[in-house]
Amino acid sequence: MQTFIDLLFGNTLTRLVFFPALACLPLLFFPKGRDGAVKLYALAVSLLELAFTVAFLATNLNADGTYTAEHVTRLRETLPWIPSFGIRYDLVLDGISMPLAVLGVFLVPIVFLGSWKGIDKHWPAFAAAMLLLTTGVLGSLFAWDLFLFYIFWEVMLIPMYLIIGIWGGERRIYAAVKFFLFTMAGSLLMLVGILWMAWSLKDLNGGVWSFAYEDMLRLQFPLREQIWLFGAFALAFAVKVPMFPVHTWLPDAHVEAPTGGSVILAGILLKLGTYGFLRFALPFFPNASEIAQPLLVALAVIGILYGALVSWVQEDMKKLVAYSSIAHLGFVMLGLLAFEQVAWEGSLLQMVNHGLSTGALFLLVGMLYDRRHTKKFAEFGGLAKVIPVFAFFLVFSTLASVGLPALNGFAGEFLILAGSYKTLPVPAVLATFGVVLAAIYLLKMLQLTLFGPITKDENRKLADLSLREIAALVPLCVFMLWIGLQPETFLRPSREALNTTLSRFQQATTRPDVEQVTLSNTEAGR
Amino acid sequence: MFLAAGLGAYSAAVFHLGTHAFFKALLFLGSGSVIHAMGGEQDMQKMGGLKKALPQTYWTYVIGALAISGIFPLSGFFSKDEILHAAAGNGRWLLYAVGLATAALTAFYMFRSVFLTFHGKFRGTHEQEHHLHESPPVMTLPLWILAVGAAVAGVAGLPWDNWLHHVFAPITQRPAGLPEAGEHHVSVLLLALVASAVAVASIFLASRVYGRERGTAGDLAFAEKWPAVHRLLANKYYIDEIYDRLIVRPLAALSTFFWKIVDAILIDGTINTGAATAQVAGEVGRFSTTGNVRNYALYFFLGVIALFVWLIV
Repeated sequence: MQTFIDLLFGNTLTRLVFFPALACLPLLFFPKGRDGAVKLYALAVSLLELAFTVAFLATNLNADGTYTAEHVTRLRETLPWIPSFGIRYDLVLDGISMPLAVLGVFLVPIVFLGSWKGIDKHWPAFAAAMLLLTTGVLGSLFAWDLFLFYIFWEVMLIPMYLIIGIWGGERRIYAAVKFFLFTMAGSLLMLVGILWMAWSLKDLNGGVWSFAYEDMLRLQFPLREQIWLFGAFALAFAVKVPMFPVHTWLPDAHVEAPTGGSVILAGILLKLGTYGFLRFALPFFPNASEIAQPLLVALAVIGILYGALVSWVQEDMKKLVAYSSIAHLGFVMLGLLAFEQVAWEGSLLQMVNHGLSTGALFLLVGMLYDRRHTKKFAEFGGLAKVIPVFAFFLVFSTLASVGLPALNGFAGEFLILAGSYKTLPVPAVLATFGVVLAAIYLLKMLQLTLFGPITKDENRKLADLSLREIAALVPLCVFMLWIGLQPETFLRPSREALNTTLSRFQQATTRPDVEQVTLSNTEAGR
Repeated sequence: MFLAAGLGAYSAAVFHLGTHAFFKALLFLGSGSVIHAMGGEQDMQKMGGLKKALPQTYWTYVIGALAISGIFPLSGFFSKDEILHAAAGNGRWLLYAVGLATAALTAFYMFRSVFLTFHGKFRGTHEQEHHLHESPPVMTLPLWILAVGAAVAGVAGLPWDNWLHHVFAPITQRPAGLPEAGEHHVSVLLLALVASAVAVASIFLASRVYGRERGTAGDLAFAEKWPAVHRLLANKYYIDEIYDRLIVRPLAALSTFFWKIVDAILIDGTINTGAATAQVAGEVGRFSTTGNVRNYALYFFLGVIALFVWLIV
């Protein structure tokens, strides 16, 4: 039988999850004041983690880029953990979690590069927080046991809280507490939901507990119960996305967070919210999802238009990008709620897209902040003449975010709109206005920072991007272009997993309502 | 172009699109060459007499202007004529009249720009006048290439042997209900003569208003005579202003309302009130937790009394 130690030293998901956390230990022994060495160490660890990820995929992905149910079963890493409660250590990578996991791992070295100058104190602690966050993110994405998932979910919260609270701006404590309370309030209800489901499984299994994903998937609750449970899960994930009206923690968190924190927050943490809907809330409670669909669609469309409009009138560059995230994630939610294959593929792609382009935008805002110590539009203008390389990257990332054809944002948004038009025509039409608004507020950002006359003398002598900064941005831009030109490569690994989830969902919604809690027999148990 | 497409004369529409590409691109590049020579100045009222300093730009610009005005045998003559013929051939005389009037206006305003820019006296600053120069070959060569195109592209659609018609024949099935062009047999030659006469007359009129040393006097006289019309035209019918008032400003106000009221006061206000309430409750609770045993004994005593009162009453 395989043990945890075996797994840890193999080409496994376990190694991917725990390597960053274990790599924190040496950080304790770095002598004080040797931040340079810490930076290099952190960068090396994150690059090694990226290499591990590539190695895992290179070994296991089919030659045509597909990743099938057979892989999912064969590559499962499972060990008993707390047997008396049926809690297992259970990691699975499937087509849905793969793009997000790769994105998460990919962003970490970029975050370290982008934080090189911006983080000026407690580097060992910063590196440790980032690496623990990576463990939390990957664990949440791979966990196939709801208890394990919940633990990783909460593990993500603490490093992010510290990153905002320690390295943040002036109102960092307010922002950190707000972030923590919003997320925590949602998550606790989800914990209750998870326990409720495990309890129900215990009753049906003759006293044997289970937190296994598949077991929970087979649970069929009466509608009333489903609605309560769905509400608990949906709230936890909606806060994370964030959806209107539980979004107000996000602008504060982003504005106060250091650059690296914003990149990782927008890049990957928000996606855990939409991932939660796709993986848990919608498949677990199909009938309740169907009933809640109009409300959630309305909130998604409000998020798109509201986020875009509020973004447009911001005077702070970082806040503009933060509000744009609300609009972009609204598109992802709309696609998920359409319950349609094309829209789902678009949503998953758009999660990655947003991580790349918004990640790049936050990096760029941070680079400007490092130079000028302000993010207000009133302080900029005409920068394209002074720092042309910066201007190039800002224009590139902005156009990707706007959804210019041949860049990644277009592929995602187009698939979402085309797919959701089939099942949700009116919301899809309304959401399309969001694309127009995105052009308005993002081009406004370019106009106010890069073009026009130089109004401030401080701006005349800004240094252009260093090689380190360019090295952080180029990988992001390469993928923006690659996804834009060849989205199929990035859609293929997820197609089967999305299709399976979707057809199971559609089967469940056509079945008559159940009167009491049962287990569905349509699928084999574990 | 849209007129032709709307009339179902697709081949004519594409033909005009093609010739337009030549002469409009030529005119834009020519303007660019002028602006370059003027050191970034775009206002024609400050130009004049540039012919001497920029001969190549001048001649190519004139070719472009003649082509767009539809003067024989330049490309615009053929493509514009085909559209007008399509309108007349369908018996759409109103559309024909609009097309013809627009052609007249085009010839007039194009030659207004020719006269104001290249003829007469220089009206800019002395410094600008000193700076005037012909653009380098990298700018004039494209001008000449486009000028040749603007001049001869008409051969793609000669009225007597229309190559484009053959090219588009397989895909330009006329929509049902639209009569075949040429149902009303109108003489191509007659229409061409009318159009050419209108264009030449317009150019002549432009030369009378703006030619020789007159400069912007014509414009000033117009502004004096019909100030309201002049203001309306100078402000592009106020369309930008109308958009600004009707769409941009209300949307900006709404956005600010969302941000400052809904986000900051409604949502965050509710949440902060909750937090403040919890804090106040905590403060009150802390006040009672003095750590003083006598206080606790007092609470205990009061509690016992309350219990008695409740049990007895």
